[in-house]
Amino acid sequence: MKSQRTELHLRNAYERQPVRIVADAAVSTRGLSGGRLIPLVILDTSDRPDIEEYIRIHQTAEKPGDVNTQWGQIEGHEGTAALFLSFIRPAEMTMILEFNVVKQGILVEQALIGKGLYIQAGREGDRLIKDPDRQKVLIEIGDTGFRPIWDKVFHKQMEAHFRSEGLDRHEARRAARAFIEELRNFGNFRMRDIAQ
Amino acid sequence: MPQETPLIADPKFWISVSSAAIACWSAFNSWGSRRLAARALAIGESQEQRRHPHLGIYLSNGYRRYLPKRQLFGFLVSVSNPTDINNSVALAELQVTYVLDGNIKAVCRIPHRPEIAEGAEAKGATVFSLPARIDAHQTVAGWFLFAVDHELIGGRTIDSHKIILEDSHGVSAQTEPIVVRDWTNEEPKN
Repeated sequence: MKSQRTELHLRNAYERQPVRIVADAAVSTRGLSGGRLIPLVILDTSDRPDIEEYIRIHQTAEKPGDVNTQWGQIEGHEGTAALFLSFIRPAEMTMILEFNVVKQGILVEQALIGKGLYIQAGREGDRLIKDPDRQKVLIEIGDTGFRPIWDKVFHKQMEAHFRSEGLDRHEARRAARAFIEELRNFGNFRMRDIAQ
Repeated sequence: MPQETPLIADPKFWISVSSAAIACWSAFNSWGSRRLAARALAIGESQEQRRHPHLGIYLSNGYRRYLPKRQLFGFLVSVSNPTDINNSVALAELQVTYVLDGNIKAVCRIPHRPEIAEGAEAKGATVFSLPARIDAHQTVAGWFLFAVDHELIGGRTIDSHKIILEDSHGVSAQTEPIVVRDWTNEEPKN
């Protein structure tokens, strides 16, 4: 699949800015999503009370929600990958999460492996360990055809990173491949089911 | 010295004239055909347009009842299918907009709950049961009922309401923002 340019229609101007990720973690729950390891991002929602409201409504609503997900890149934001989330139910809202490929590529990789992403509202300094029971929403991320594009981007960016660290081209390529492979081995962890 | 023949006696002249006449007739014919083809295309396109799923919503009345723990909304709606294909209403939702701190608007969707009519004072009222079939060029009318818990909107005041209907093709139709009237039982209590 080739990447293509598209426009995102937003309801409010503030939705145009990617929401800042202040912390991340990974959660694996027995019996949920096959026990896969799913990344969690804590978002700085000090300027986005609508995200806090969405998470609150989601906990109150009787039915699970609906969301359209799309991976991509914001024009002019090189070295990043963005996840465009258009929530439909129980509340309508659009959110853009931007990941630095080198520093936060593990989150994208894990979201693709785990087929999901937890979002949690917070502030600078918040960590999952401080309040593990805080309200969070699991977003299911289906196959949007992003995997082959991501594989190329991730490898290219990691290779460039290792070259900037002083490795030659061949070594950088090998290091990038080994790093991604190791990451995937770690990410394939699953919490096994226990027979009742 | 050769004698000059008059022009009208020259067969070449008549050949030219008849060629010109035939060319004009052909041009006229092709212009007529072009017009006919354009009209046929327009008719074809309008027929195709009528095969695109689309629902029309007409709102007759909207009421609200404010209860201690929730607000009940009832909307009497006519749903029409002006297209040439059969359709059905798959989903009906009330889109509620309310304002958060910082003048940020939150929008949530509440599903239609026909069970609200059970036990309520809704004698003889036709409440939509979804999915509701609407054949081509038909209109159905009934009530859509919604319950908005105060807890869901955090006790805030609702700014506007809209009804959103989704058909079996995934196409949405929605009303303009609705003004609702508070409904109270004004019958004297014994």
